[in-house]
Amino acid sequence: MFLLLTQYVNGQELGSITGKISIEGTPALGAEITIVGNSSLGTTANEKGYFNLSNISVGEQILKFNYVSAVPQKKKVVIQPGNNKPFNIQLQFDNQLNEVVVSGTLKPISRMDSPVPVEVYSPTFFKKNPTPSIFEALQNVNGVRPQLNCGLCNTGDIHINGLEGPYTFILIDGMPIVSGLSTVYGLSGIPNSLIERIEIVKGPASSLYGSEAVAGLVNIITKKTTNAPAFSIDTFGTTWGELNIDLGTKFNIGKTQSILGVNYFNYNQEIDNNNDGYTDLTLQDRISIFNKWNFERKSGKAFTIAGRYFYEDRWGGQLGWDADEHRGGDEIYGESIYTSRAELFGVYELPTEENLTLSFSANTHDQNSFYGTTSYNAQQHIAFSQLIWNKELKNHDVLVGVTGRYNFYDDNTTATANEDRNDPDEVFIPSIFVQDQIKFAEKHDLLLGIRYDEDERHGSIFTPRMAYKFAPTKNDVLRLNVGTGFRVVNLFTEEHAALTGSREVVIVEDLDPEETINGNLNYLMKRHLSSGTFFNIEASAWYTYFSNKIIPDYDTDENSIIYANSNGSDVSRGVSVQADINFANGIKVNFGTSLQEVFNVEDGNKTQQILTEKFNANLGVSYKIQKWNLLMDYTANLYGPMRLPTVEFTNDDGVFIDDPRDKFSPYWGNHNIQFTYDGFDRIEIYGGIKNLFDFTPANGNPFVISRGDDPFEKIDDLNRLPFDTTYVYTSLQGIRGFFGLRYELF
Amino acid sequence: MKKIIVILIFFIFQLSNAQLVNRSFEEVDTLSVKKPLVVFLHTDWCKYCHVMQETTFKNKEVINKLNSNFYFISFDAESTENVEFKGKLFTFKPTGKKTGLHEIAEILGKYNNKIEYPTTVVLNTKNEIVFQHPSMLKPKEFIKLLKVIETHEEF
Repeated sequence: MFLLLTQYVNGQELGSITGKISIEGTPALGAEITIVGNSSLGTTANEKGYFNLSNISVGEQILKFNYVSAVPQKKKVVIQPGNNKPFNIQLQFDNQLNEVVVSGTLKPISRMDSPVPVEVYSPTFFKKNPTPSIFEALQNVNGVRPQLNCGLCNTGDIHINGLEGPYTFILIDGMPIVSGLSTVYGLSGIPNSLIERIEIVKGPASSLYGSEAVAGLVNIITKKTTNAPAFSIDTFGTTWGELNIDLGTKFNIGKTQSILGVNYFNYNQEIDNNNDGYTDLTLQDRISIFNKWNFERKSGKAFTIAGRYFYEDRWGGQLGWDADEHRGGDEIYGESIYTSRAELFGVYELPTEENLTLSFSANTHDQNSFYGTTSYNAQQHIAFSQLIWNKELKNHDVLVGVTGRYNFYDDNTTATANEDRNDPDEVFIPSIFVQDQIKFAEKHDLLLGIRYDEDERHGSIFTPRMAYKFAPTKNDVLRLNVGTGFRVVNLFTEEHAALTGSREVVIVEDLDPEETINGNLNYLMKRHLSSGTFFNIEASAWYTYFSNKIIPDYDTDENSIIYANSNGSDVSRGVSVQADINFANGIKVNFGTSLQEVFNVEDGNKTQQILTEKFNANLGVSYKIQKWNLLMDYTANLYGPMRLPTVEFTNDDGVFIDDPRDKFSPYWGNHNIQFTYDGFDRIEIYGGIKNLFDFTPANGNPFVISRGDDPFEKIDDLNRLPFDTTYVYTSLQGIRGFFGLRYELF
Repeated sequence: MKKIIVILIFFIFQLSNAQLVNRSFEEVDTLSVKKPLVVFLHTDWCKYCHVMQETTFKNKEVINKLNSNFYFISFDAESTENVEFKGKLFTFKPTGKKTGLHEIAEILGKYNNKIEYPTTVVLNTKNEIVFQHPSMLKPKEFIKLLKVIETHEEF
């Protein structure tokens, strides 16, 4: 009776409605329910998600559902007098602001506690411009550049601050992949869906990894099994016919957890847009399988093993090349490489009271290749083990370690021949190191390290290192890092450039190790404005001095690449600034630029390093239209002029034959846009355009490959330039569209 | 003048008062007054966690509410120290060198079969999880959340 009375207040008919509100499957405690246009009515859901709203005017009403940081929802209901039919409503989190889901344009903060600046990137950062491998994705990181080393076979490595790939160390979950080729292969096979984050150190990292970490360090942290999707697939194709498939899964066997990733990439079309008779993009067929096992131990200590297998068949060259018919022949030019590689690495913490950690890494690499008629077959086996004792004493954090590294290398060239006999290169390098991180005052940290390597070829090598961190506030950090380094150059396996078939490799003497002295200065600031905008700015300066840098010499003779010890000195120096801004309105911008100079000084003459730019910049802008579930990304990389390996020469008659190609590259850039729609359950679709302005090295040049019509130099003509493919400083792949799909099941 | 000094003192008092009390799980266990528990799960590499630490947890109203009506624990989900809570031992589970996940973070933070950072978790006085939020909460949203929990008597 009372109910009836209340329903006729003011002579108006009233109704009531009940329902249940959930947010992504769980009750939405405290969700607010209001009536649009009637602010006086409203209620909240209880802990089971139920609500009851009465005294609603009869007729069409719009109910609005609000929940803490969820996307608000509206529902149209025709209210009848009395009780209405209950209904359920599902809300979705506004997932813009966490580490795992959408739009991590802005990279997370650097790990502040380390005296060495560690930058952390979430996988969403690399989703902005999807690539078949993390290798290519790293172009989005300021100061990091994937460098194409082979014009036709399109292999490359990663340059950090202008330094080559072998100077960069790759780790997976802190487990090292010890190999000069790790930046080429060490990043493959791990799908984005299994990556939690990527840590990058630009500049020397620590004494732990010795000389191979002079340029920097890339540590891929895979997802904990808890967080990895039960199944994930990410596949995309391009208008050029490239196809990339990433699969990820996880499983548990008792207390042992495993994650498994498979990457397959295929490109099988001979496209020649610059009409020079050569493939613009190397044809590739690649599979990579990554598997990690994590053994849960009673002691709570770590025991993790991971393995990876990689197989690739790639070729580039003249159109119509066929492996069965032309491989190694002198009819149609082709560069063909079969690579198979296996890796095993892991970490085991000893069940001792003391903190002892054993790391191990082994890999075997087999390359079977032809560069035109030149065959190159090589095997490299590396085994590495490291035992570290870690002790924290008051304000000291001490690491003491011993390392052993075994290298085996054999190929079919004279590099591993002794007179008439094959003589594989075998070397064992033991090392010890000590490092002490001292917190000597509240805001000051000091890291001191020294490493000793015993190299049977080059004797004893000491490499000291010092890093200092000063944090005047929680949001400002200044870091200084100085030390020395060395690297023994393994020419063939680590220098793909040495294999470009068009030039002959000349090694004039036994190569001594490269020795470096370097310093890095870094300042990081973070600010949070009351408007909700926040940003990081990081500025760095670096200086590296090489007393014997082994640089391939393309200049002396246009037909060869000469390797010799350097009499002069080499310097890599530069400054870089990067900023990440997260505006309150949701726009995210990251911007970075580097000014650098890499040069050689010999007999007072300064020469700029070939294929190295003095200026580069990158830009990323992202914005998500929440209403449409649409994320938009724009990314760009810009590069200043690089000195290019042109092949002008003076012929036997004393006539100067000029190379008509540009001696320096122009200012050039790569621009990409992408749209991602995530409005479906578990599914994301994305598409966009890469190389929007269609830039390739062919732009403005009469040709990119010299003497392309006569690669085997059969025509006897003194006035012709030699056959040379090294000019291709970036991919010849022009504008293309891409479209992809991601599915994740948790 | 006196007024100004009084206001100033009041202001200083407010400031010094505006320190968020961050407890440990062990500490909360020993406290006799029962209050809902707010756990903030974060990692040292997560930027939005840092943003929350710098904005939401520096907001006066948030601090006042948390200090007076709740127990608050800010917990690094990758910390390696053992945690004892309600008579149970929770440990760090390594998944590589210097990487892993703490058991208690997994138990509290797991939402739709995964953990995202930051995650805010609320436990009622019976130690039941009543709220999990795997995303950043701005000060206004956080205050709203605390108000909702305050008004539900069963806590």
